[in-house]
Amino acid sequence: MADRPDGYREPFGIRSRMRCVRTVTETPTPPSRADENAWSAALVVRVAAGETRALEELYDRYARPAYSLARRVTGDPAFAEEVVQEVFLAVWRQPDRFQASRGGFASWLLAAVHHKAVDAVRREEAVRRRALALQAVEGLDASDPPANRPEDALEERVRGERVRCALRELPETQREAMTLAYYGGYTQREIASLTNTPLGTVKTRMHRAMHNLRAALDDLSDLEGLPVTDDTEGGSR
Amino acid sequence: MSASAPPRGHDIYEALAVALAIDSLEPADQAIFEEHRGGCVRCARTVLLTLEVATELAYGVPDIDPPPQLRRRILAAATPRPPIRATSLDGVPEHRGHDEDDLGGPAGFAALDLFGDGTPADRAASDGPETAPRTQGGGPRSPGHRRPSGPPLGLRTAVRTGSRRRRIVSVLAAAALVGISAVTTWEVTRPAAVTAPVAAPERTATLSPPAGQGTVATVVVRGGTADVVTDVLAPNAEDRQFYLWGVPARGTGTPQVVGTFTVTTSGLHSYPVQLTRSLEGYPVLAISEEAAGSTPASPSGVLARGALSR
Repeated sequence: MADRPDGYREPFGIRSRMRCVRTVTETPTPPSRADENAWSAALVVRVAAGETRALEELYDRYARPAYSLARRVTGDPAFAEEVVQEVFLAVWRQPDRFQASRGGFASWLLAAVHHKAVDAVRREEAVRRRALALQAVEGLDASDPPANRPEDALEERVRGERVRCALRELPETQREAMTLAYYGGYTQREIASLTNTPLGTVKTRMHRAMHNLRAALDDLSDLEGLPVTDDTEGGSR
Repeated sequence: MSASAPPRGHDIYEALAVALAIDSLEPADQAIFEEHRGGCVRCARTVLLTLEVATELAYGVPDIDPPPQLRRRILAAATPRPPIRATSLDGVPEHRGHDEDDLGGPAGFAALDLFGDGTPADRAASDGPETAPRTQGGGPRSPGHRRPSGPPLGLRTAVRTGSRRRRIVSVLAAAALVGISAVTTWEVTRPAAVTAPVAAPERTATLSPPAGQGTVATVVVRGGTADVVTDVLAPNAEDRQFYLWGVPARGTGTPQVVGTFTVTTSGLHSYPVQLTRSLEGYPVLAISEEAAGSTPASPSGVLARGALSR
């Protein structure tokens, strides 16, 4: 199915899902995650040795996803800069905080960014954040990458499209809960309040959303999927 | 669409584990999770799996290039400093005190602080920016991000604090992560493992003191190799090393050395075991510390032991 020439985008739904599958199957395979992990781990060793050039390389590779995530969670460019700066300087000052035996550098770095970004928004607790979080739910579908991206952004685009597809395929209530939690930085109780939903239901939705996302992103690892109970909402797959 | 039923049974805790991994756990729920988490492999695994998905979610946001001045500012602040543990980064320097830019929380694959320092209760007291262009609301620094190392004994069984409990679970999480990751050890010590294919652990053994409780170390067996994820096993002296023993079923033989390993750093780390014998036929594993290079006929003293999963 081809996109309409006038740029019209279907809302979430079956057509979007079909386009989603087409997009993913036509995109190149990203580099091996093991290769990237080895590459970044070697750079962290050089950072530990005091090589600022290695820090530059790590920054050049990961600053964009880190900043993009921080912008999404905080909704504020200055806060996002603050978060990214704090995390990268921590990499420089305490490179031994990263342990290659326990996961890839990208996972570690982005988890740090997310954690610090959530810190920032919870400290502020601005009313603005409410609106931003709701935008986060809707805005993921309007996230086509800009044209003329550098070649090294290819993997990010592929990964981004994959996860956006996976999110689009979630039942709406699960998607809402996950996006409010992860991109909005809300606690489960806050999500329950925002969506006028019982807390237990929010927890279930997030749990199932994670299960479904993991099933959709099925090449993450060889471990078994998350055990879940019967899904009364119906799975996405 | 019908409403979801609230989670029941163990799903309650796994739902909390999901929330913990993505910084969405309520302080009130943290207490509930604290009560449960000690030694729960399922929850540890759920956290790790959730972190993997969270990494992908991070790539799902629209790309925004950071402003050029951010790069300049970071590099300007990265002032020259002496090398940090050039041979291995797989640990936390013990001299470090209350640091000023601790990442904390789920970011802490570093110490797998997923289960402790980075939860919302701690975040309320988390540190503010240091050299950022704007300083808003920087609260007091969260205490206890750096747990002091214990006494320099082979086995620090005296440690029984809340932090200790977190670390026990962290060992299990680390054991699970060893299976997730393609990297089983720091590449300096085992370069070949860096790009090894991902493989889940085939068997694990959680080793506890013979007359005590708690986890001393976890042995993770995968594809003919084994790693030991340490918890409270302090580094061995230079002229000594740890021996891994295979203990046969009662009445079928005597314990045999199945491998050796060296521990270089206190705390939660993963070390490869130099296997000298197959683990087949040994339902229980044990650890002792012996003179390096020796061939003891029996362990001089069992530090920890535990059943090997099937």
